[in-house]
Amino acid sequence: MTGQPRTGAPRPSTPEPSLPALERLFAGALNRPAGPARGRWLKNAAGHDPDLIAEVTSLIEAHEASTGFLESGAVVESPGPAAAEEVKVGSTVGPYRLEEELGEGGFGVVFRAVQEVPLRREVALKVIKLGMDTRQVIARFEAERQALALLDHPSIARVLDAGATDRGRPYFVMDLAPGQPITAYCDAHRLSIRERIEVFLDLCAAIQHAHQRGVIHRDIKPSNVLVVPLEGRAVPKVIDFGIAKATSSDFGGGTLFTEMGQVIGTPVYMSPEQASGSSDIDTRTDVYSLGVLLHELLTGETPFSTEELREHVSGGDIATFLAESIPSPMASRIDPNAAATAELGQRRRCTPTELRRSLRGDLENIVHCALAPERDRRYESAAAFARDLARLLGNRPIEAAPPSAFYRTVKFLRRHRVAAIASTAVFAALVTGLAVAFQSLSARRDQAAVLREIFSATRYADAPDEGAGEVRDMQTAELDRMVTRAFGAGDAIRVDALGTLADRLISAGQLEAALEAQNAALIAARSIHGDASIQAVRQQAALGLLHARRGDRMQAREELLAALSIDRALTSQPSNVLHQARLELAEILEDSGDREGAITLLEEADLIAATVEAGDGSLRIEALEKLVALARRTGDVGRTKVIFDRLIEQYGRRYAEDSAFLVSRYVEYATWLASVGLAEEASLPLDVALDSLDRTAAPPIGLLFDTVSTLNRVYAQDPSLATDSAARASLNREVEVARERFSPEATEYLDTLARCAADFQRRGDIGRSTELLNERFERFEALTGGNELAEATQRARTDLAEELLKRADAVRRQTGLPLNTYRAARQAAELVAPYFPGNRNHLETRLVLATRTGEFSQMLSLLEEFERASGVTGVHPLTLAMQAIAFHQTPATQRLARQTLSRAQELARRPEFVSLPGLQEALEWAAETIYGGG
Amino acid sequence: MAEVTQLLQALKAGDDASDELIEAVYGELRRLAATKLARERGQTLQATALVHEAWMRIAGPPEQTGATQLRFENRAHFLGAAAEAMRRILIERARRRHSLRHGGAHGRVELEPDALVELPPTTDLLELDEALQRLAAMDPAYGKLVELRFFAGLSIVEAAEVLGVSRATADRSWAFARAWLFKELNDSRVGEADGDGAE
Repeated sequence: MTGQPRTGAPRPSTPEPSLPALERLFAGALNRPAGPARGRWLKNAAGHDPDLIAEVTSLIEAHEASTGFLESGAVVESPGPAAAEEVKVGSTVGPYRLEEELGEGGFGVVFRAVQEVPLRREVALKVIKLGMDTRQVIARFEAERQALALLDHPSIARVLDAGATDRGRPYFVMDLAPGQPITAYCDAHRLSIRERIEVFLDLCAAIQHAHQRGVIHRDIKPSNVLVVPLEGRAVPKVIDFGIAKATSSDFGGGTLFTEMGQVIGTPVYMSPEQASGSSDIDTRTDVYSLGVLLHELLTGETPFSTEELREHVSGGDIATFLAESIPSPMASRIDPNAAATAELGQRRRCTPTELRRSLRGDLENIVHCALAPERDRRYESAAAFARDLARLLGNRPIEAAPPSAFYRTVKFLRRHRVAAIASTAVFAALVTGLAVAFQSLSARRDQAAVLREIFSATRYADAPDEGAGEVRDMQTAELDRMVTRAFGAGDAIRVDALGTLADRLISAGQLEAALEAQNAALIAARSIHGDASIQAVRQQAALGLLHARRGDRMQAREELLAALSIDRALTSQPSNVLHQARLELAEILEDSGDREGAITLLEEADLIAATVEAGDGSLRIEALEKLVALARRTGDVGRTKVIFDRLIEQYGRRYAEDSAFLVSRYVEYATWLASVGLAEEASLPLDVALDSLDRTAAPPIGLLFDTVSTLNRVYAQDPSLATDSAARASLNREVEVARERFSPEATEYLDTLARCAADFQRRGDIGRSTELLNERFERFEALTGGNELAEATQRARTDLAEELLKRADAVRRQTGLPLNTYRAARQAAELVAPYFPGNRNHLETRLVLATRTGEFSQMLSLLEEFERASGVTGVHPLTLAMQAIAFHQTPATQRLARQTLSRAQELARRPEFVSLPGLQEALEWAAETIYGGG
Repeated sequence: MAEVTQLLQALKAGDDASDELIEAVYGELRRLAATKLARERGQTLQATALVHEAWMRIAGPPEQTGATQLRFENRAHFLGAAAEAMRRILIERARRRHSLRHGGAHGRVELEPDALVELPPTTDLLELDEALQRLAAMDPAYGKLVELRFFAGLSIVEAAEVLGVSRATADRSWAFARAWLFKELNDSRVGEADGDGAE
């Protein structure tokens, strides 16, 4: 690399070294081993210039951190320009002439087009852009065509036609709807909240019309709801009916990735069930999307942002995230002081405060009901959704109920499983507190206001922005004063109020303020109920948990130990109240090295839970989960197995037999058992799991794959667990499931093929094994393209080709194998032909396999090729031997085969052939084929 | 193709690829990418595959000897021009996408603005291209090398051949240029985060 004069150096202050000079230092330093030696060298070489040394050092750091950076070469990843070039204004698609491009999106380009025959009309034509299987798209569309034909509604743009362009891209023809996306329209025309809801009601009516005719849209979003002004009214038009379904299995559902793993679109309008890729989709998926759309019309944003979802985009987390999250209340999104809010309000012809107020209460409850992650909790139809909105506009009572505190808390706990250790105790305290509060409420009406305040504070414990504003800044002392004034200092409600405040502060992340409240709660409990009361113990345990949360493990340990010892002394009856305290303490003990102490504590927790727990066993499960984790770390297999068994038994009691969750636990258990060498034990839960999955209509494909794949690994570990034929059937299933689970181009699938091929070989099915290797090779070749390649890829391909040839070669040398084995081997040899041009062994293999599979038509040309490659012309013992084998395959020429062989043997004795490599082997093999094999 | 061939034949050893040649190669590559993408269901095309296929097409089959076959040094010229052309194609795509995402497409109803293909965060093309231009401004040879390696996907050996340097030199310069760019991208990202914060 030649040095070039530097131009435009970014930092002009000090004269900088030229890049080649930097490069010399960089390369020199890299040549030295990392450590002091490199540092010393660099210091000297850089003339002790600190800036220069720092620069080179940071470059070396960058070098070390940049593994793979830029190495793979750029990729042209989607046919954007191609699509634009193929279909453009002025060209014709089928009977339609494209007049004007209306818009372009991730999946397609939309044109205004004119149809001339049989009648002249203007239409919208959408050409799907991504590479998709056109025939399938059109077949799916045809399947729904009859249902679509029934749609006749002023707010529905009919889909008129579907077809394929000359280049094979699917296209759809629709009624032309010259409008703006609904959100843009409402903002541009400054529609008030009420007017927005009115337009939305028309939209609901259109969707309901389709639902009644059995058509689900599946892709409701602003760009699919255009608003057309008509006689002074804003009329929504829904476009793309039937298109989402037709294109769904190519890029709908949960698959939001291209083959390169890049995200195409985030499903902000998609229901959780649709995002999970479930095939069980009903009209309520549209209700959810309508809810998202309404949310955006009202607040200017979707319930979850694209960015928020993108964080969960890997590994199908989006569905889980959507299923377990509830969006923060709409009003809490409106910050009256933010500059953007003023504009948001102006577009709705109201002030920020008015906007905030109108989004509270009923409207919030309605949107929430439409957005429930569980579809059973949603409006059952678009009509029901619309009815409730109409009630709201008419100031009548609505049906949607506010989400209960319990529901929200459960959601919250689910979302924060890790943090839930502390929260569950808090939750128990909270529920008790509320129960007491309600009793008091009915007894003492004048104190209701205080309680309501406490209640509203705790209700939004997981959404600290909303409703809790007044209590947020309330100091512990102030709350205590209020409660004391209302109830008296000796009332037990004080403890609950203070405890609840502490919980709420914990949720809001204000741990120090929470500590103050929790301390006050403990003092109150001791003074009201006595030092050794269960109430005091409970508050002390809560205090200990809070300390643990703050990271003060010493203090946590002290409080928890004290609480537990009082609890044990307090009563001979076991009590579950301190369950979380035991779990937390166990963790602290383990971290301080007292693993046995931790196990004892958890065993105690499980035992008590088993004795007193009446519910669903969740307390036992919690304790056992921790025990399993602990026991696994001890490395004591026997002990771990006993505990694991207990855990699995609990799961079995709690979940339905066919629950995917239960099955996943079985598989996890089996995976562990297999990992410690207990193959036989591992096969049992796997059988149960598979049995259960097989009885499920559409088992989760990932789980099914894990189950089958683990089972096969177990079979490989201990072959006696399955007969060869059962093992083979299972391997075939794994391949089949893997193809569905991963894309056929995915490396996971290729790895599965390799592993199953090895297993098939071990199970004596060389044929099937070879077939799988062939498939892997073909896919790998297709994947890496047919052109010049990076060296590593080229090498990998050659390695694979050699592996296949070796396999084919081994097969051809054996007699009496099933025909399909020879066929697979022959295919292998054919596949790798381009890698071994003129290779004699390869030709010989092909030749022999052609005879073994009875494909004599190829023999002649192969023989010729063989002669060319081996440099032999005319009569030659080697070709004669081959011919002899060929003749032997047909009864009519078997005599000829023997004659040809003797001629070959005779010739082989001539001096010029005696030392020919491979000749003796070929002759022996021919003789064995003709005489030995009968 | 004819145009590219003529332009290439007009070049002498040591000449730099002219803008005209880059323009012509650019057109070829786009056409080639378009037909391939239209024909094949899989939507990913390796830049290197495109570049090499384009070369095969203009140079003719290797066994075909005679007057029409282009000289060996033309291959280096071609690859140099192709690298620059590929960079333009990719950057143009990235820009287009970027402006679409930010609502810059005038006079269009913007459909599905959130459904655009995104590049993985490690290779934000526009950012990379800016950093690359800074590098090239300091020393064009490094810029050319990155262009050949990344945008045209050439191997080290091929890139060394185009630049007329030894493999070892190309290896070393490549490691250096990568580290430099990596550092530059990280520095500018940290700078942004410290500076104007979120949009």
